Amino acid sequence: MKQWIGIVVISAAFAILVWSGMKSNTMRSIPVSELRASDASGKPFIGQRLRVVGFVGKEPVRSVAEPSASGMIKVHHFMVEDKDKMVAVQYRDALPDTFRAGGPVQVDGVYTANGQMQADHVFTKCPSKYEAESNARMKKPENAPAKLTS
Amino acid sequence: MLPSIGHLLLLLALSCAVYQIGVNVVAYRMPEARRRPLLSSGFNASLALWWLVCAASGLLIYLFLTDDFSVNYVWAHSAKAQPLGYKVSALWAGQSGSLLFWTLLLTGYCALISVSGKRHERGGDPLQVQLAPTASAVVAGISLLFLYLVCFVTNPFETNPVVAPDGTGMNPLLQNYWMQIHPPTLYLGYVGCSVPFAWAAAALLHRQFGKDWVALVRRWTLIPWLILGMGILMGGKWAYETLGWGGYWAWDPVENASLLPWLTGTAFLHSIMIQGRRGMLKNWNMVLVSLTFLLSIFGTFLTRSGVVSSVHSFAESNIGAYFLVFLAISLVFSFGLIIWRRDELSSEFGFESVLSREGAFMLNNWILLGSAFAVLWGTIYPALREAVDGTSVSVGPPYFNIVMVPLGLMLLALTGIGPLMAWRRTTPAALGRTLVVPLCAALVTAPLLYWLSAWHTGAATAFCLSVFVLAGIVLEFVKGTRARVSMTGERAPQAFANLLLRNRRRYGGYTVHLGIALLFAGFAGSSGFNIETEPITLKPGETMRVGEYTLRFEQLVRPSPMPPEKKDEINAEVAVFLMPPEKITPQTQPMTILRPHIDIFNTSNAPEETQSGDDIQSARRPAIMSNLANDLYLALIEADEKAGTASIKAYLNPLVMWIWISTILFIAGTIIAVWPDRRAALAREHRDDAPAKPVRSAPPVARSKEKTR
Repeated sequence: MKQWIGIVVISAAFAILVWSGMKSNTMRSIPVSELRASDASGKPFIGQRLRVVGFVGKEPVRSVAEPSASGMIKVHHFMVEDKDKMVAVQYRDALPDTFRAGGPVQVDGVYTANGQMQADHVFTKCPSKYEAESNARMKKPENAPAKLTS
Repeated sequence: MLPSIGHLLLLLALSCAVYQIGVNVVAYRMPEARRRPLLSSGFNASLALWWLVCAASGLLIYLFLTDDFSVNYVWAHSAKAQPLGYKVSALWAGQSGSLLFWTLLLTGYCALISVSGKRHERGGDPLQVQLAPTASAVVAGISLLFLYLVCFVTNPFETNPVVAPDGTGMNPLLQNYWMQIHPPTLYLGYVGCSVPFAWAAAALLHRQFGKDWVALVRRWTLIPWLILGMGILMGGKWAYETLGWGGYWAWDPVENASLLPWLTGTAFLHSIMIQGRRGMLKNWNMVLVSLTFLLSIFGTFLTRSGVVSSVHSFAESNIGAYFLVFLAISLVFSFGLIIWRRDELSSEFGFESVLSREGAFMLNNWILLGSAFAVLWGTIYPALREAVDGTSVSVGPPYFNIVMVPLGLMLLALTGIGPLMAWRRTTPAALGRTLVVPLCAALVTAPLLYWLSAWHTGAATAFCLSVFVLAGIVLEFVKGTRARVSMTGERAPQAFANLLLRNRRRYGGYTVHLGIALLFAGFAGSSGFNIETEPITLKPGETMRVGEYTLRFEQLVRPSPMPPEKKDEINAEVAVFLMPPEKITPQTQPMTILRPHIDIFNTSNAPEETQSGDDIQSARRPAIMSNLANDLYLALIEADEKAGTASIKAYLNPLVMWIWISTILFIAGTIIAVWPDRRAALAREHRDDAPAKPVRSAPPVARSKEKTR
């Protein structure tokens, strides 16, 4: 009996730990197009922490020098697009190595009242190549001789 | 021609695996006297299976080395100019090749089990002789999935409709020496999770759950467990050394997938000791070993199916469904066997007291299992939520930190308390006496920490508990050595060495625990007291501060000559001083010059004039000044050659080196624990020489249940 009480107490404490961790650290992940569509219905995401998903806009990143407590820093401004909709992002930290125009990107941060993402994390993909077979299929390479293999 | 031979070898391997399983199933159902020829044929099939997969893998490597771009996989992951080492490691750089590599390791384990059984036929462990054919058949059964995938779903020998003059090459970001070490190590450990499961399934089928099986399965679990742990740590080191974000663990689904079976495997390694010592928890151990295997398959499903979003680009692929079906079959097989043998898996004794080593190990099991569940839940929650109500959510690292930090601290406390408790029961007074020295050491640490550094409650708790574990273990070593000195008259160093050799399992375990204490201290230091600056733009001669260090940017330079694999490389020379900037004069010599740099690679083989921006890939490579106290970690974020400025981000990460040093203790402890004990072998030989004690399908274990209080 004592053992069962112990198990119940431990399980309950564990469940509370997981539940509270989830409650305070889960954020909505939303494509740019849905975020923009939601603006039309009363801007429910203003002020919330969000993960915005899309593709880096075609315009070059605009980096503006700004003074900070520890020296001059660069604040990056760029667009994230998805299905002809876009959202402006402002980011003060280092952009990832694989960040490039048209590439997939995830931006974590707060959606501000002026319709901008104040980002604190920007993610792109790591280069592991375990991609879908269809993506890896070779298209006819340029300059390749049109020779059929055996 | 060669690609067709490769595919044929895989098809033959698939047939061989089916034959191996079939022969062993028939042998299992036959009377023992008539089994021998079938078992012998099964043994040969295990070896043939491995050789066939070896030949197929060797052929694929040959195709890489000869730049045969008619093969799609070679074209997609290699190029003429790719260095030799990366051509070989391209074997596991993509989906189908990595599945072939997985098959190679799995069939290697299958052959190893068969050979171990054969080797023990001449005066060795009769249990191993009895179980090895069945265990190898189980591993061959698992390899069926992978062989089917590489034969029919994602064939690494598939050819292209046209032959390109050159391949696209391995992604330059992967061209790092860790690519040659980390994935094979991680795979070896991850695939190795199948091995203890196979021995467990064989034990269930042959009704062998005695001490000999415990010793056997423990040995076969410890090695994959160690390798998996090393693989995980290596992944962290790779990320830390090359990615330039200053961290080593990001709670990414791919990282989590590797951690899950390690956690349940650790729980199994602890609870199996209770089974060996007191004949308890047989059911539970079977569940744990099955869970470890199932989680390795589930982790692969998660990372290869595209179900969860990861920074590793394991995009959606069509192999997820196969893993899911296989997972369901494995679940039914493993839990079906456990339910089938439930009567024989009853405990021989019950728990006598919570204040006992069994109690501590049980709590340790619950926490490890809870940790695995918490990690799994955080990883799959976004997918579950989307499936349930269509809402897409993300669970970030803070969730994992909030949940895992208290669980980790509890585990650390138990690491210190558990080994000091007696089996069966300990009185609170006796426990108090044993713990007084470690507790005092831990309590002294707290004010010391407060005096030495800024206060961080979580990190300080981890430090105190690490000292608690350390003190407990040192005390055990001292007590044991003293006892030997007084009993045998040996000198202290000799007594210490003999102490380790005479009870390898125990002191090997303590050495691993020392590694755990060091690992947690490293985690605490690097996460509780780390300092990170923003990327600061500096002109030559300008300085920035991180902690006590002053960094002075000197200039941007290019290496001469440029390494052939790179298009370009820009280094920022940064002088490091351990003093405030106002004290630095032109004559002051820096401690060192660090050179964080940006590598620039071509990702296309097209002529340079036709390349676009997409064909250029840049990679930040940090420079690290590492010592036992802290790592000064610099990343060059941007270099503006026109203006001569560099944007530099600095991190000061305390005690990171302790994390890497803990690996040495893990390896040393595991080797000590797993090293064959000649005395045990001799004892077994004596026992086998005794008349009438054959090991065969044993009757159900007699249940001599002690009354629990």
